[in-house]
Amino acid sequence: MISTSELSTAFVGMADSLVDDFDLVDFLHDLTVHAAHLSGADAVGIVLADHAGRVRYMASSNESGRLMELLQLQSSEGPCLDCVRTGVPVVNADLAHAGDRWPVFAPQARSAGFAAVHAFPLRLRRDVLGALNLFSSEAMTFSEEEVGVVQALADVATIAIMQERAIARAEAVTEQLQGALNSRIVVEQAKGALAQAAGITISEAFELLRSRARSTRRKLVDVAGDVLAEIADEAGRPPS
Amino acid sequence: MHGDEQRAEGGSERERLERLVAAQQPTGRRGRGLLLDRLCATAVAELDLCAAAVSHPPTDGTHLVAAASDDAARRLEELQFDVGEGPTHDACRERRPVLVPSLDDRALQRWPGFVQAAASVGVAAVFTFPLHVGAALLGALALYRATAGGLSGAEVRTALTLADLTVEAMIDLTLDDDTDAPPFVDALDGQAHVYQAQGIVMVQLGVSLTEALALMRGRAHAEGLSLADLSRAIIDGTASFGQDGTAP
Repeated sequence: MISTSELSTAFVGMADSLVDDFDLVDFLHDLTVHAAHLSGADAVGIVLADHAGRVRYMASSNESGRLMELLQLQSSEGPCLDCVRTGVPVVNADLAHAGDRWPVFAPQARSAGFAAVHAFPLRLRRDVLGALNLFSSEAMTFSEEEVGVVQALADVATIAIMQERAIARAEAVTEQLQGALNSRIVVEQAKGALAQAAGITISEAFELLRSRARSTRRKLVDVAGDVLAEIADEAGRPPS
Repeated sequence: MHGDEQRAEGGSERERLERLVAAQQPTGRRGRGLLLDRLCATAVAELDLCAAAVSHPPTDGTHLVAAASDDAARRLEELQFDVGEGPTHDACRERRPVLVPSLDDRALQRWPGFVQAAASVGVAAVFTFPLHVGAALLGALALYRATAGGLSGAEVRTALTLADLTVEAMIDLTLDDDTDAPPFVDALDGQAHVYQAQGIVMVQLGVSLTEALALMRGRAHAEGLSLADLSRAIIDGTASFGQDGTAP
């Protein structure tokens, strides 16, 4: 199912992006798009676990509220949480037969139109930082080889999250993870503010931010911060 | 990071710390100033520190210490302003924790003035956490230890949870300093749509991000809603803060 040539193109493209000072939030977004395209999944998301054990949204292949809702439903149960908890991939979970395992999540995911789900851990040594989740509206079964490929994509996400700084220091993991979680919040704040100021949808605001980041070759989080500062400036107020 | 174990710990860790903060002795200050003092005292007791302080961002030539466990802690923060460098500066600029388990040569190179002065008063390690919500920067929580060594995983969680509680206290502090206001009404639980709604309200009212979040927290509390539910309504357009009479 996963084409070798497309796969190598995706990996080469992602490796090229991992240059100095790359844009983590945008990189993870691209990774979810690659993962959706390669695997045929309808929606792909990346979540990170924070210090309180809450699963927090980092990126997704599309902005559909449906995926977000699903991920949030999982705060109490579901494949992504199982995966983060155990560090073991959840593969080929058929939602029609998962009512015992996830009595709340499985029926809600089905009624949202999903039939199959997979979750792969973002592993760093003995820790699990988060998970890469794939949702499909049709039955989707990965072969052993394909499981390896998707796990490799999850590993690339871990590498990207940890790359900005050397991880030889134990402290760097905390520093990096906290920084990444806050970057995501900056982007969400800018999406809301820009949507409201420009009279556009949240999704359109995200696309505007992304295209501005790309055209100016700057990080999404920096562009988001600037947009917030500009909007605050127009209102004659400090941004924070 | 470790699923259930941490989940369980995370939930109860917050509650445990809330209880410890509430049980701290009053310091003579009122309202949320007292709350910040109690947070510092709790940090010192729980993390085996010699000092803890909450500072406002060191911008615009002002570096105000919002709360400190004692005068020594206050001086360590003021010292960073005097020498124009230090972990509080870096945590606020880089927007991530600055964890320094030992004031070694590397730390000395990074902050020569600060490290010499801190070491001379017996500080051996410093762990500084930015107090922020996305682009809204409120300051930093600085934890000073007299012994060198890194924080354990459990200590990192305790420190981050204390930082969460401090952020919430400081956000609410922007609106009022009412002694009777309930602390910690609604945890900021990291859901993306809460921050989208924060951006929307910032524009609707022409206020700062911090004020927007403070107003949202106040309204959610007043209306008996969760912050998450109010945020969803703001995004849907069924709740707004604007000229339509719904502004608080």
